[in-house]
Amino acid sequence: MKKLLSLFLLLTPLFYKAPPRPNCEMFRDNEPCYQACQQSYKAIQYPQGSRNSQIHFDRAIELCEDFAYAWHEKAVPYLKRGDFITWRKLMDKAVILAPEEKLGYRGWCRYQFLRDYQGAIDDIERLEAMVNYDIGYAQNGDCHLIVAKALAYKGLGQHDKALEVLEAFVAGPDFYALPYDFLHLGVMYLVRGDLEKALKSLKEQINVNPQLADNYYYLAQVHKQKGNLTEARVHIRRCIELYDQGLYRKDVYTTPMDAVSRAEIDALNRLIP
Amino acid sequence: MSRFPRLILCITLTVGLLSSCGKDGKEAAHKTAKSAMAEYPDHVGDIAPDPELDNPDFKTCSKGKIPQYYALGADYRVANKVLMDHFGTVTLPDNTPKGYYTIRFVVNCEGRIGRLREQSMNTDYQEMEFRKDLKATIRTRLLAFDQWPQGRDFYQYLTFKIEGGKISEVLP
Repeated sequence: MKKLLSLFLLLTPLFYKAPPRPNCEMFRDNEPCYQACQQSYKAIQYPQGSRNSQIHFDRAIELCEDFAYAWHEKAVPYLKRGDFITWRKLMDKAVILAPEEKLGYRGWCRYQFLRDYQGAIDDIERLEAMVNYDIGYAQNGDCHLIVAKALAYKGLGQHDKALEVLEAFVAGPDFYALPYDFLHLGVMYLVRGDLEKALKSLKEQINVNPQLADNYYYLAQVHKQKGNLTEARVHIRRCIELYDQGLYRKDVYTTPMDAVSRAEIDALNRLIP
Repeated sequence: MSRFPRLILCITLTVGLLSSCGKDGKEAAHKTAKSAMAEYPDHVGDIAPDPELDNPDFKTCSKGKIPQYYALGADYRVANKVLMDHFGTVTLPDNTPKGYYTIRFVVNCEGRIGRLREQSMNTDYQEMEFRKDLKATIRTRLLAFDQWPQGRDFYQYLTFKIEGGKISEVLP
């Protein structure tokens, strides 16, 4: 069961969710927008980014320029294929039309695809200020947007702020651990040299996801720094074992924060006699 | 790469404007669809070979549709650590402005690259230009990279985040 769970967690990035499809019946009293909605359904019957798909989104926008879903979906292939200027222009239109719905997504994309840390923080904090409900999760389901915000602060080098945000989130009454939350927390403690707290978080991570090579890499790091070379050796070997089985942090689009490469694992392994 | 998407956006915005001016929606849509058929490539991001830009020795291995790197799974991604080890030592002038320099290209089944197209933008996602010698340095370093996955042709892009006079990240 645990193996199945781990496999699911590691494959999660493969199942990127598209934004919720609109219910066209909601536009019944607005014929152009109803037709635009129908056009968007035609668009998603074709491969994302294909000519036919883009043309149907164009038709949707022509019919109802305020239809945020079409702007958003038309933008996505530009993001995934590295044309960020076009993506941003189209996505900004969606955000203007539906800020509560689109800000979190744009912020996450700025973090994930461009490491635009300040831009991600701005979008997520703007959303937080705008709504009085849970702001939700990253598009790929990896983490809550608050965790993404903490990681963005870390990316800016504001380690104290990053830890403050993540600690508060984890201690919150509604916290539910996603696959990498304690890994990120453990690494933040490790970077600060707080080895005991790092150890506690990384052990907690094992409870959530016991088959993640990256976690054992950082456990080996902590034990090495504590001078526990026997423990460090056990963890780096477990790390290599899992890595060789493909059970490491991966994403089809980008390299996630705190993911370790085989080169880094081999380098640490050489340092642990 | 940057010229084409701008054209598409321009068409989109123009048509949106026309339809909002009270033109017959269906007629305008039909007209746009016809012009868009001519303007859109088969897929967003497709790079047509250009004899004036491309190395004539570069060939793809298959004749059909070239997939995006992300459609081939995580094993077709080169780890950022490997890319940073290769590009992180590129020296940039101290006064290099902050921004992103993206090169999109095709990797063939032998791990060779070709059809390079570029886009540069500032941190506000607006088009900008980096110095030609800077871009040439990065492109030369890219052409020397020899660790692309082999076995399939695929589209890839690399985005170089430039700040503080250095490449701070190589994405995606």
